[in-house]
Amino acid sequence: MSAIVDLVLGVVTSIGGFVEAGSISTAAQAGSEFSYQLLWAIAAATVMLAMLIEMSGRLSVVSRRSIAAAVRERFGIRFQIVPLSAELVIDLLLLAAEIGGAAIAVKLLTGIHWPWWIVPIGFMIWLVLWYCGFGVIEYGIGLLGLITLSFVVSAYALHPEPSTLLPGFVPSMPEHDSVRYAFLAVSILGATVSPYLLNFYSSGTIEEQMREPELWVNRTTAYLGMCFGGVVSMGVLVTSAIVLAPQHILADSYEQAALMFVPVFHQWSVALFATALGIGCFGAAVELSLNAGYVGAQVFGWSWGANRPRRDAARFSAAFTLVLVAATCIALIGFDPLRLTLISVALTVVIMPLIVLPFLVLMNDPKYVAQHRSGAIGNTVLALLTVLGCVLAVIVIPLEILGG
Amino acid sequence: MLAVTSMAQRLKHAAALIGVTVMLLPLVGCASESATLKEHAQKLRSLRATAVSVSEAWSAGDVSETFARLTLEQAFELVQKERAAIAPTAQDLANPPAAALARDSDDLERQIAALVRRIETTNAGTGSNRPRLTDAHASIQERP
Amino acid sequence: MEGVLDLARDIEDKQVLDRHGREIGRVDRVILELRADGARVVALEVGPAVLAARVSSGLGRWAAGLEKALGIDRGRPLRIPLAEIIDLQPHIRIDREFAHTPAATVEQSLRRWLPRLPGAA
Repeated sequence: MSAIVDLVLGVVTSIGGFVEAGSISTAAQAGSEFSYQLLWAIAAATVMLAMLIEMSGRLSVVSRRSIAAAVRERFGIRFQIVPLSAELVIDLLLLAAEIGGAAIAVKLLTGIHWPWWIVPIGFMIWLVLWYCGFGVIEYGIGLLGLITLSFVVSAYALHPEPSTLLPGFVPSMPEHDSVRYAFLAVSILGATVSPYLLNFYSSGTIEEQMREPELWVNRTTAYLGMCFGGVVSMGVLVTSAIVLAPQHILADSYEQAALMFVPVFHQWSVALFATALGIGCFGAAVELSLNAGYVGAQVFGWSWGANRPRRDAARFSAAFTLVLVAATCIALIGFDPLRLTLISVALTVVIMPLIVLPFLVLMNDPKYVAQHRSGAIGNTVLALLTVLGCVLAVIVIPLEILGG
Repeated sequence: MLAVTSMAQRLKHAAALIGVTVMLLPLVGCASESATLKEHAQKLRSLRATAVSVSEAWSAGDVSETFARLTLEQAFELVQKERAAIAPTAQDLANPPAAALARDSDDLERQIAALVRRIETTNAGTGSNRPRLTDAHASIQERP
Repeated sequence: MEGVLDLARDIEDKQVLDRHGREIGRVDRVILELRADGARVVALEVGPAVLAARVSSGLGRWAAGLEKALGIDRGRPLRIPLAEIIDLQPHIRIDREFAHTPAATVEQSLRRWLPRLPGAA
């Protein structure tokens, strides 16, 4: 019974916690510029994420180590310092973008200029991290995040034609701006397969003390939860494609993106969009900050845990506090949060090979996964992802410059 | 002798290649310049459509005066940025397509400013009492 | 302890726990003693300066300087003789209390700030 409850909660919170600044901005832009043509990118990225999440959960349940800890032990600090440093920089930028996204959401509701909300939102994130245990953070954010299902409701209510929608799931050449199309496809991948999600999920299975007999819960949560979450992202794209694209409105700002809700939700449109954006960004910011504490503690061997009194894990608490303060300062500089989001997701793609490659080794090392090694399919997918990651890492920066 | 002849041939080929490249460079420059202007035109079209959409939504009572005003003000700022990027120098403005686009953006700025003024000064009330800004929309529509 | 160990795989970078299972840090360096009949592991070391030195010697010197400047260099790096090792699997457990290791210095310093913040248990 408890396993069923865990499963339901896990799937529900995966749906609610899926969309945030990166997925909303990339899906909205993709829909407004290329209609349904990039649905395949969201579908492919979601499947990749589901596989990686399942693997990270399996690794941590069997080895009782998070990904960060396993990489340190298996590869040593000389290897890990490179992806670790890169991930820290990218997570700082992404955290700043999420704080900015939440601030814009509050601006949409109140009319008060968004930079004024940066410090209060940063402080609220810290309060949640300080006072709440893992369960409250994970399930609270996930349940509140179910408001993002409004994107799915909107897409459904707009009655997309299946004959025009379904071809979007097959990659096709765009009629215009192929460089921009390629950039958005790669950005969708970067926004969906965020490295922080993998360690956060693996740390979560340790926090929740998931055991080997419950690996089926991990598998089901990963696939069902991520796939349903991907549907929310598709809801953003489809709504944007139906509402914004015919009017030639490019979703270059969150204010323009908010207009996508008007035909379905009328006088509730802005409030609903802002709430969905705000909760999505706030939740992602909490997870990013907490993950910074996890990674620092796990790599350096400190005590850690959101369920532990903060005094007992002072370095872990200091780590997430420092990262949150640094990201808040970056957000205060005043970069446009949407632009910052797109830069962060592009940089995520650059380091993707360094994130995926260790998986290829760890998921085949019996010391870490015992008899639960990846099979031929899993290894083939990981190998393909590594190769794809290397190719994308090389082309993403030129794409950002030319099409971003 | 054979080596000297082949060196001369190589030099000739190199000179021809350089000459063709020099001739083609202005065309490449023009192509990227026209691609940039096309991008600016798309942005302006988007901002124009945003202004129309948000003011229609305001008229219908679907968005608040605050949101409408903020979105229009943001669109105004973005149009100003586009205008600055379209023709930053007198030389750029001498280019007819750039000059036409610069005029469009100037017109759009004035039209958005007029929309903001109309929304601010109208006694808003509820959605059904808000005036339709059809005359403002007509002026803001794209020129063929 | 008997058996064959891979120093890189089984010792270096492994989690170190105190006798009660409290996290101390990770093995950042293995100290070997060179003898006529071969090399022998004599101790393990835990410490940020030692860890930094593995990445680059310059970084190691900088980290050591920072520890000194902050006044937390006393007893660092933590040196663990082989005789203190209780267990090697699944983590390295040693016969010491966390509170009596220099790893606790930073925790205790940070804890001085925590009571000033509401909610810290």
